[in-house]
Amino acid sequence: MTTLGAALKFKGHITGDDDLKIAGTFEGEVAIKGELFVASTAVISGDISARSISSEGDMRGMLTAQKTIRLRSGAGMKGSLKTPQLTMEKGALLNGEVTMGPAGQPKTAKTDTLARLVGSPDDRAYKQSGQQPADARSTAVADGVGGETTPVAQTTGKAK
Amino acid sequence: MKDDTTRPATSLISRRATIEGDILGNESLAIEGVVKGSVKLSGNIVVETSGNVEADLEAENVVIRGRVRGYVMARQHLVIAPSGKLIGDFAARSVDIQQGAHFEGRSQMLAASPNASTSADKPATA
Repeated sequence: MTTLGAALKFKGHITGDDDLKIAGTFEGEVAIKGELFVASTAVISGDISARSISSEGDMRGMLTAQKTIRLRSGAGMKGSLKTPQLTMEKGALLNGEVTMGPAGQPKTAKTDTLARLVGSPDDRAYKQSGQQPADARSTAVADGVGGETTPVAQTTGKAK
Repeated sequence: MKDDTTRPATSLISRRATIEGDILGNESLAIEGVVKGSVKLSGNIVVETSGNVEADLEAENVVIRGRVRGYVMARQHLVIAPSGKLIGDFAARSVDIQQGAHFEGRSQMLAASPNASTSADKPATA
């Protein structure tokens, strides 16, 4: 694991597939495949992309996680977050914008399902064309079909 | 010889990390990965065998076991280990280029006055 200690100031960018811990002052870009730990002494500004981000420090900028972002007690964050999963502990501060959904891929199977559940334009398009979304159909088949075990996505679609 | 140059490094750039930019600070650093830019510390710098540095380094003591291309300033002591390779100039108060080490560049010895090292400390501390 790469560690940048509390008494270090770094300006630039960091890449790699390892975990990274920042306890000092950092300005720039981080793009790692591992996990980022931001210590309480850290002051970070810039764009961060990592598998997971766990922060107790001060961050501003854009955070993108492939898995999860955890803002621990004492963490401060200003900017935008993009992550499939967000945890905020009591005492963490967040000012900004959160986008939840698989990072880096604006539309995948998962967001599709979510969109149908809330009756998005996609849903109407499916209905108009008289087609069922592929995965809803496969769920129905897996359930043994029948009227009573309609997939959730469809039920909500009708109710709308 | 080894004891005074390998105080525990508090920061580490691991072998699977690449860092580009400028690092400043009050601690020691071990480099196992790739570093480009500049590193200026009040502690020590150790470039491990897997380390690949294309940067200017400045620290109290510098140990090179990997590859360094750039200007190296050791306010106290510079060691180029048998596995080490330095391409670039260096300045140091004392130097130990061990058998098998590779060095291409110019060498400059710093004056042995203790004032020189304390005044050089200040910019990194600020």
